Amino acid sequence: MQNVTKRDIASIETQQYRAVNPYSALPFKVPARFTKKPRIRRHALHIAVCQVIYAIAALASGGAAYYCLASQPIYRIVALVVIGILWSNAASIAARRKPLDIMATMEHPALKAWDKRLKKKQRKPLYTEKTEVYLKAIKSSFVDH
Amino acid sequence: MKYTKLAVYITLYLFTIGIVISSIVLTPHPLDSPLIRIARVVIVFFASVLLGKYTIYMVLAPWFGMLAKRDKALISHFVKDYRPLVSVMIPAWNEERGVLITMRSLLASTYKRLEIIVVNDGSTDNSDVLMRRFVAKYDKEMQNIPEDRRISIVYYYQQNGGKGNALNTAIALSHGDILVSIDADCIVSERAIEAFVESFRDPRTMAAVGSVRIGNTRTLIGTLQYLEFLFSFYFKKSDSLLNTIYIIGGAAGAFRREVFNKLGGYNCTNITEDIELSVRIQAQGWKIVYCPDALIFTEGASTLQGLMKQRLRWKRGRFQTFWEHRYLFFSLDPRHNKLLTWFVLPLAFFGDVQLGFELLFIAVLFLFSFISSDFSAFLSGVIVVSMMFAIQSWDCKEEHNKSFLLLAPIGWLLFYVSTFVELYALIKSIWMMIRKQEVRWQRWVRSGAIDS
Repeated sequence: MQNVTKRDIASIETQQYRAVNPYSALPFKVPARFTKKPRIRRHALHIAVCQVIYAIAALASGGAAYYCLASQPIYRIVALVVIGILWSNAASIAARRKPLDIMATMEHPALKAWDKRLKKKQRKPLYTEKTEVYLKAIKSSFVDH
Repeated sequence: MKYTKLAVYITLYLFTIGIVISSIVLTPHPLDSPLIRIARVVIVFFASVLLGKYTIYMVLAPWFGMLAKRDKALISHFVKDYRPLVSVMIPAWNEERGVLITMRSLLASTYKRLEIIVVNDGSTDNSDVLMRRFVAKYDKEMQNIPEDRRISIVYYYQQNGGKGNALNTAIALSHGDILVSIDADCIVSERAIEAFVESFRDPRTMAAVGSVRIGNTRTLIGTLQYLEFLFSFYFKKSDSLLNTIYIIGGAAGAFRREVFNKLGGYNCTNITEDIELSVRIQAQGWKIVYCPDALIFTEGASTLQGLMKQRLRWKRGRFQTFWEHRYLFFSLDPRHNKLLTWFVLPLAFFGDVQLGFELLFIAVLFLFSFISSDFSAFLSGVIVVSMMFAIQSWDCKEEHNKSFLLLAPIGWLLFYVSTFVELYALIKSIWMMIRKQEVRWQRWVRSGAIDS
């Protein structure tokens, strides 16, 4: 008897999920809002929620700085500038990570190309003073290319 | 040299700590006189413009990575395989110390559909002999490899005619669809050319600017330039988002051939021909992008005198370019990017006006802080510059030593030193413009001292 691996079980479960779609058995079309939302939209929602949280945190910190430094107008302005810049950095990092997840879900060709490039074997840098040795190494790189 | 540098850093740290402690310990007592009130209004006006500009740039720049990645992903749907022939142009004048290193780094590039064109602009040193010998050896070694499988090297010696002239010769000799200009004292990272090509996948992109880093950071002058470049290239991210890049440095610039077909070559009468060409591209309303992966290390000036000469050329060339293309300022032409013509260019000009008074303002602010025991304005400047500095150093931590982050608290003082150099260049360039004197192609002595 053939051994059944965890991978096989996962594969079977996936197929069953596709086959036994509860909505497909119904005699009428299910409104879109009841069906499972595509992952891309959930990710977009995730980004939006992250941004709102970051914005609230920034506004709260800004407000606190404004009241705490009420007697020092220069510090008040500088605190707002610092918070604005930090918010932008924090929020953009969150947003930068998410598109990669989205592309991963969609098996995006750009992501595949990116992975391929990362996996590409790194050649050793040619630190040699001798021109002949260097040119031989370069020649081999052209042949391999 | 190492101990001198350390002593300078310790002094600057102590100075910064002194200001922080003074702002906590001393109780400010307000000063009031008509003169102080006027000085305060003027300083607040100039400081606000600068702070506003930097805040916008610092808020926008972090989003560049995400948006660039999104654009790349979208374009990869339409343009699957784009591998055009790239011509790398290297103008060289007395570059015997650097030109072979540049050649070697280019030959090791991961992108192989490449031709390298070196134009020797009447050098009087040994660079001609060195280059001929290298090309002969290269051709001999590669004779069995078909031409389409190897990088071809074209070497040309001409009478001295200036950098623009040498670049125009290189354009005439080139065959590539994309032309990359690189200085003869640079080390090109392996992925740089590939990164340039990737940015040209977008058919709208007409030119790209790479990321230039100073390679010789062992001296104080080198470190100072490294930090300056770090700042200016970080801000290129925001400029790229707004399409307001108007300087494509000669050390790392890439162009579609159409640019030269339509606009002609470099302007040989302008001493900063690279800035002039970039402004002409912007005048057409074309897209210029920043390409941070196209990393190129260059040798910065290693002496104060060399740095002053370099800055003088830049300052004078920028004035000349602004004057030649003055129609761009507050232009209403629909082709022109209004952000560039109404904000970025006027702010650049305003920056030069401000530079004329900057040292005076800081000196007045310093005196005012001591007399009134109120260090809040000073400390605010330290906080903002240090934070900007830390973010920018952190952003390119992979490229260089993380120890640069330690310089964040004293970065503001290092920039104060560079203000002296900039001011000298400003005053001298205005003086030379009045007296109608010319500035020649830079003539500082190369040491070939890029760190390994």
